[in-house]
Amino acid sequence: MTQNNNFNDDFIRKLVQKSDTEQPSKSFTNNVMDNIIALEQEKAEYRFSIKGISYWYFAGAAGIFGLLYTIYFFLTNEKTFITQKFDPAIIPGFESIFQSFEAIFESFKISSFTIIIIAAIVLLFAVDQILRRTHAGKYFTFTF
Amino acid sequence: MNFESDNFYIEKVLNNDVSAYSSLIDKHKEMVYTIAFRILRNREDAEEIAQDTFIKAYQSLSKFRKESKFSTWLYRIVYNTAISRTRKKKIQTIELNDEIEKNFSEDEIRDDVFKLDFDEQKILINKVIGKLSEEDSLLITLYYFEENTTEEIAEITGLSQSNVKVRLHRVRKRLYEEIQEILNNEFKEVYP
Repeated sequence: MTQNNNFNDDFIRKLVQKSDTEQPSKSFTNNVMDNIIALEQEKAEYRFSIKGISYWYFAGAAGIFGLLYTIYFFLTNEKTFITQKFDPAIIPGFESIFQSFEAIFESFKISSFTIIIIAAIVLLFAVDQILRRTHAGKYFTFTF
Repeated sequence: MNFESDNFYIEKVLNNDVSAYSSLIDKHKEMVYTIAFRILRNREDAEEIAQDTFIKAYQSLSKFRKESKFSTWLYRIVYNTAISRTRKKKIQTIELNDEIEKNFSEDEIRDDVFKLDFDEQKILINKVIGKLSEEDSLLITLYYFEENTTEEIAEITGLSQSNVKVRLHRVRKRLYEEIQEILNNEFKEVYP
């Protein structure tokens, strides 16, 4: 193993440093940046369409809908979580709000079939998100 | 062109300043392209592989741990990408005690080279590098030109450090042989 240190040769180093590096094309940096910007735009469009809107707006809309529907459920089934015993003073105020809820949901009859469709969409959305996160940057081609 | 440190640009890119990546490309493109060219010996392929390398590096930049130099990490990507393109095996390991018979005087060669002016030396070394194998020209570029350590070259190529050292030892001898041959033959005809 005495040969192991013999490669450190200043003469060779100085000579090799006079050699030329190879030159890529003049448009090299622009070509790479064009590709990268295209990738970024794809990502941005994805974020805007899926993450930006759907995550928060979808979650917010679903939350509001769920809350309103829960209140409506209590109203239409003559069940109540706010009673006269609890605070008779604020009930008249809530009554007017509840009446407007009733107006909103009056014609809205959700069927079990609709629930299944909504659940399927939510499930597909969740699966899509999981796959995109765990297989980021990988592309799949399906052939038959 | 003066550049900031690699980490300066990396931080900017990671903070969504995509344009900062062009400085990283400008800083490293020649060496990345040179490595690709040394392995592929074809300008179009080298250009494509070098571009792919920078795109791959961009996509994986958040995974770069800064445990090694950015250039080492980048060179490993271009090395692996270029090797995959050639469908060749990586540089083969060699026996540690595999010696080459020495039949030249290093001092005489050095004296002859010192007699040449800068431009002649430049022509000479470019010719010598052109005559080496892909693997050998890559190793001398990484070690003598880019001044990577043997540890970094091992990281780039996937060879063991001892194998890098042995191979460099052999490449150095081969360089002397080629210099001697060129000086004695074709170079004397051009520059008698």
